[in-house]
Amino acid sequence: MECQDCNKLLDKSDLAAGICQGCTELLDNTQLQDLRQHLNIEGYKPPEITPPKREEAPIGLPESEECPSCNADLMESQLKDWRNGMECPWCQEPSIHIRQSSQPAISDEVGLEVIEQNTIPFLINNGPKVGTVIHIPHDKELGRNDFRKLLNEPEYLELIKHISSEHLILHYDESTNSVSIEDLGSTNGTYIDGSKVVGPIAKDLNYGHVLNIYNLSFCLASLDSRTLQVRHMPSNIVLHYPITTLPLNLHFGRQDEQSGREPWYRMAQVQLDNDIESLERLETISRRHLFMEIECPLEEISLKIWHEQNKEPWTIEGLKDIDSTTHQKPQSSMILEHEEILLKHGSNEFCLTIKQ
Amino acid sequence: MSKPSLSASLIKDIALCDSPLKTKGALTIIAEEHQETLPLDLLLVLDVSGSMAGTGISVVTESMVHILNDLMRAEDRIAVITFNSSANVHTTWTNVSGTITPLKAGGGTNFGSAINQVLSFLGGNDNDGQRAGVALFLSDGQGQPAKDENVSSIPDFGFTMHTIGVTAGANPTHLEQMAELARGHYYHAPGFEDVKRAFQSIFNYGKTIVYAAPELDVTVSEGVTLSNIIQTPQGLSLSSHLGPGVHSISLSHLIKDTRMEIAFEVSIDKVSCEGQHMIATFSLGEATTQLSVRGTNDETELYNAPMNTDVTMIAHSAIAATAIKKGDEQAVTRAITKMEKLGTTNPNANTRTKIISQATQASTQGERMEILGKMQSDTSGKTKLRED
Repeated sequence: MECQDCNKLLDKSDLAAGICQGCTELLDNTQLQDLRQHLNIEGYKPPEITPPKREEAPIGLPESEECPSCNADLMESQLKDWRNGMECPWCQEPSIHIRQSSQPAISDEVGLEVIEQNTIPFLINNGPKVGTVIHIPHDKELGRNDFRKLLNEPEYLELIKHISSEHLILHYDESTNSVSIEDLGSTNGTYIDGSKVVGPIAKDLNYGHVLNIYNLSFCLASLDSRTLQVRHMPSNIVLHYPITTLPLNLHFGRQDEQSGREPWYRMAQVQLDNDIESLERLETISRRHLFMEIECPLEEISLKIWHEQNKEPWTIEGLKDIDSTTHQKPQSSMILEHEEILLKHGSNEFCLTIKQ
Repeated sequence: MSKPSLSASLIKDIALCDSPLKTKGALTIIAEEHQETLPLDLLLVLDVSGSMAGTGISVVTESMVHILNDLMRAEDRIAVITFNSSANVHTTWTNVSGTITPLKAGGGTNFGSAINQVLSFLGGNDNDGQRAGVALFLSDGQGQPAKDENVSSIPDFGFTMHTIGVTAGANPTHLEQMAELARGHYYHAPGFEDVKRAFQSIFNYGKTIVYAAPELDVTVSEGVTLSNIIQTPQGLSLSSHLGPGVHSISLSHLIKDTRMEIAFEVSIDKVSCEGQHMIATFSLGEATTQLSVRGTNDETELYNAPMNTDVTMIAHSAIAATAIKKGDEQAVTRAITKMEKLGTTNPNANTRTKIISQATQASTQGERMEILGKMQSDTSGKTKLRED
């Protein structure tokens, strides 16, 4: 083997110095290894270590089960109690073994208790109870146990899993009749209109805003006014717009006027976090698309729909005298309470209903 | 003067005894932490030959005024020597409160008389090592050359000399060699508009000096030769050969928070089998370090002894910088390839390789040499470019 620079035949002295003794060219690791092999010198071997012989079998771990609330491993007598339906000895989480058999009884009991406390009415935006009102206690730390008691349908258990044990607080200010939300450093986050609420400062929640506790979605229910419910059919995302201040302007495009994301779209992105198919479907709606204005002259409710210029039109079912292909504003049509209006665009479909 | 720390190492600290050895080593010098920077004496040596008339003179004057009015600290001083066919002291040491009279251009270019004037001016200087001296030599032409030994005696006065070539007419290689002899760096000014930036860069460099042109004493043992002594990462050739005996080498200024590295080759006639074989003693001011190698017969131990990757990096870096200066593309590529391989075990080699590659990609030789001059190693050996 020769030096690459001066063609000197490399020998043991070059290997010992790590440098060609002819031209002082440094030898790199590959060259040194090649030279070692060439000169038949064994590589460095660390001294052999023989593992000590094992005399007896290792002690196995006892059977255990994890408490879903505090992640404590329950073993032996604790495990036995847990399986018999007793609460977790560490965090007092009710045993999952009892919940399966006698769930309604517990939630009924607790339900009464909740209503007695100071609560704020919320409309549920997803799951089987969409559109129904629940009363969530304010000025109290809320966590997954509280929501398990409020929403006992099995479909919600999967969503409630992502709520931290101490997730958020609803602050209610009686003097201004306003609600604000404080996130308690939750793992999966709290969102208002798709924007993350970052503690410790509480963020105002107004009527028409959507509150997401990760992928569980609510909005403030107004008990004394009508509400427009908008449901995105393929993903089942629901928004409630209280018809308090009129005219109510809606926009079914992805971007708002400041080129930010429209609240409904932000929320959809949070809620459809892992549902790429639905997210892609939403992308087919243009950034500026369909506009709607709702007015309430006297006892009627009238609706104007117009369209962004040059955008693929939506088809509209359930409304007469409306041409959605125009981008002119002044068309209007009457809508009735509990009547469904369907807005269709490609594989997207929104269903609008007015509820008292 | 407080103590800098010196440390000398070889590629491997053991060697086959009773045999000759050729190896490489490196000396690193780091200023003590929290060392105060020295006040600056900036000596401008300016070409005022006929070709500088017009834009040249006005840019140079503007740059001088910028230093005097905007950059200088209360403790700094500035002086100006002008040269054409002959050289004159235009302004003697003055501080921020002083003024500089305007320059006039005309006549030929004589580097030799300029350097003689610098030496006689510095001979009357009262620098006692407590001030940092930086001379700045600017020319736009190829003048009658100065004697090498005259240029290389500038550091004896505590000064290093940087050169700026306005490359419309200047020869960057010649000016770079002058800078190297005077332990300074070369700055590249493609046109007069780049002169101001170069002035500012040299001034900012001058403000960071903690040891002014220190002198390194090297005592080489009998039967030992040190050769190709090169300061890295700038690739400044300090000496080509040091035989047994005591030698004194002028170094560049030592800059705050940097590590000065000196790469060299070692040749030993016969490595002793008993204990440490003394190679050389390095001393700088009050600091001293010794370099030795342990002779052994144990082949297994020899083959398996680890290589000092810091020394390897410094050695490669010296080869690469020298090759860039010579314009030897092949040698540069080879050194860079080896440094890249080394980068897998020594992250400092990675950062240095990147900057050396950056230098090779510059379009002109002058630019390449300016990048080399601006390379600095921090105290941990990580390379960066000095900012203007």
